[in-house]
Amino acid sequence: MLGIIVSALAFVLIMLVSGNNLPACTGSIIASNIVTKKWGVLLAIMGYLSGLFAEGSLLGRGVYSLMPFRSNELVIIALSVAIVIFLIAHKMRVPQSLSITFAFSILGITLALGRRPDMLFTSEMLLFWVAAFLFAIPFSIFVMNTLKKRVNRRRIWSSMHKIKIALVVASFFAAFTLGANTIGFVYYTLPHSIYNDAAVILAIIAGSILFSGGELRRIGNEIIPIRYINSFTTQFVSVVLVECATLFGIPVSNTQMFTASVYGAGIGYKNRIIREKPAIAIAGTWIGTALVGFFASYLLVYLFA
Amino acid sequence: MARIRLFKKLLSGGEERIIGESTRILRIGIEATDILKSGASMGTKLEKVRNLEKLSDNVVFGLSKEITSGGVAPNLIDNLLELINTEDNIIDSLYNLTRELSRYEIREKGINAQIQAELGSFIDLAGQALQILIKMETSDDLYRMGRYRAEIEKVEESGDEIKDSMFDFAYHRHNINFKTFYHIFQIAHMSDDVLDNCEDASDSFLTIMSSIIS
Repeated sequence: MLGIIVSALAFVLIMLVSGNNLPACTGSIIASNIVTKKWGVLLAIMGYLSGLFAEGSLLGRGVYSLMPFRSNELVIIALSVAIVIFLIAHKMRVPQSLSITFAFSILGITLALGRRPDMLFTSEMLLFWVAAFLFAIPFSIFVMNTLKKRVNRRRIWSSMHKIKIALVVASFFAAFTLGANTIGFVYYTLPHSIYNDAAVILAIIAGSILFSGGELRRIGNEIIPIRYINSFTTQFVSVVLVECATLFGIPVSNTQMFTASVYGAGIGYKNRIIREKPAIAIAGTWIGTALVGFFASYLLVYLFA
Repeated sequence: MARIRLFKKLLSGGEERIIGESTRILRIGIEATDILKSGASMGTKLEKVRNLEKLSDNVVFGLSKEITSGGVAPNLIDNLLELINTEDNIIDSLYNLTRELSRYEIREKGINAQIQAELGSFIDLAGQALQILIKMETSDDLYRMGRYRAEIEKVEESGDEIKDSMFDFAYHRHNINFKTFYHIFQIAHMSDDVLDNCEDASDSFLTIMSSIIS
């Protein structure tokens, strides 16, 4: 019975994550009409699945370091807390990071049980989050300025075709790294069973198809004015950083990397005004949801364990 | 082969296709200037230019539909709409000029000869500006586009000089009636509108191309 609940909750959480993150992966190529929505969604599904199966196992290190002891009950608490926080943040239309919330949630569970997580790994993870966020900004500026210099102004259309191909490839890898890191992190928290495997695969497909519509409209119309070079820069930078994190088994927020690279790309335009307030609000929400996840899980384990 | 075509279509995107299609409006403009230069009767000229103006409206309608229904990147929608509307304004200005010319005929032979000569130069300049605009929009080189824009600016300045000379002529001529004076005034303004719109279209086009690679 508990196994079925775990599968159902994993299905819901991964479905929400797949749909919610699809715009950050292939939203720019859909919104700029390089591919149709159908092909953009398909590319994202292929990216998620190939990332999960090719590199998802690397996140096993992160899961075992943060949560050395596992049971169906504890996984149900972690998944439930993550889903509730995700839905509340989504309803309030505030940016959120599942990786951060989920990591803090399982950290809360481990500490509530009186066990010690791997402190070295936990420190590495926290350091990486801050360092990667800070590094993403100058890295985006560097990538964008390099690209701008290399664009052949004597053959504009040909340059644009190359940028478009690069953007499609980067979008696929954005989905790939999300599949490996965020989805891999949730997947390796689950007890191994064929039902959980099926739930995760179906959730990726269902979430990408059913839950991406509204988010895609937002990214196309509200969030960023899409230009080819800045779209590629943001994708490239977040792919590189998330892939680095994956190789070390560190769960990292794709949204965090994406937001930092959007800011970096924005700063790269010398004549653009960058507002600091949204960045502070976003960082505040990440910290807030992480703490809520930690204390909610801690309290639930403390009460029921 | 079909796959290569599909791949090319995927990469070329809406912007390239719409800009390519928009040169149809400019070719319509060249056709209109050829009609104005021809020796046909004023009634025939008006009829032909009216048909071209309708054709241009249809091209613009089709392109606007493609632009607003998701054929291009969102940040380029406004600029592309501005470009095709400005190009359509060139045809509208040519049509307005034809209507004005068919509305009134200058009876004084000396005045008529002078105005026809100035008008001929204006129409030649409009044809030149349109040809440069086509070269600009079919070019792939941003630096060359900048040079074409400068050429159009020079053509427009030449047009301003002709306009001034028409005004000078109208003001300094003694035996001129009010209708003739007003007619010359209108012709000068409407001819200048054609060149102004050509210059505006070149500015819009350069903005779009700079924006695509920024």
